[in-house]
Amino acid sequence: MNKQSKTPEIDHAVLDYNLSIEPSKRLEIHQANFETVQELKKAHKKLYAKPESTIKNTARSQD
Amino acid sequence: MQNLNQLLKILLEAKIDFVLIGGYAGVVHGCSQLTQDLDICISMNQKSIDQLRACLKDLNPKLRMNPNHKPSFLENPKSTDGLNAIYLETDIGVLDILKSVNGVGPFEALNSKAVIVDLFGNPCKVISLDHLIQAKESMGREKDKSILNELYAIRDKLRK
Repeated sequence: MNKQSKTPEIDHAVLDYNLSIEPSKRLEIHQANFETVQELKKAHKKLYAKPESTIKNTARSQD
Repeated sequence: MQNLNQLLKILLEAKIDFVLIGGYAGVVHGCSQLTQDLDICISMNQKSIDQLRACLKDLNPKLRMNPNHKPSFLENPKSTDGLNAIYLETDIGVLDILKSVNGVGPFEALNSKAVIVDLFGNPCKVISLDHLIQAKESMGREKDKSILNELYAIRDKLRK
């Protein structure tokens, strides 16, 4: 199947807001957003991690 | 935890002569895209490298291109001869140091059109919006399309 990527739409409100604030503030917001994404990734990984018992059972079933 | 602002502040306070480029420069210009590294362009000479080593020495800077062998930047590379780029990882984030930028040229070309922006109380030379657009266009990478669209939109908004 042909995988086509789609460029996300521009959020003009976000750009307008960014242009209304100081560049240092833009970088502070970037850092805060980055940290939020890292936290979400960590939470996602934890949520979908296989419980240890499942891993053992899977290994046994393949014996 | 990565903190590119802290990394940038260290470079600025050490008075390293560089131009901020790449996605982080895009954020300074107003882009909303998240970026995971700090890219700078310098004049690749021994003096600049010595200054970088001095200001990064407490951050465990390592050359990261070979995942199985990451020598310390404090001792490597030994010479700047033929050196076009240094890709580092530090305790607070990834730092890419380039001699030139595709589509624009070497440090001197960027420097001549760079804009001076106050960042955290320090003047910082940032690649001009037009040069950043030129650089992103020349790379033609899929991942740059969304940042390019934002850069075009920002340019239009600033012209109005």
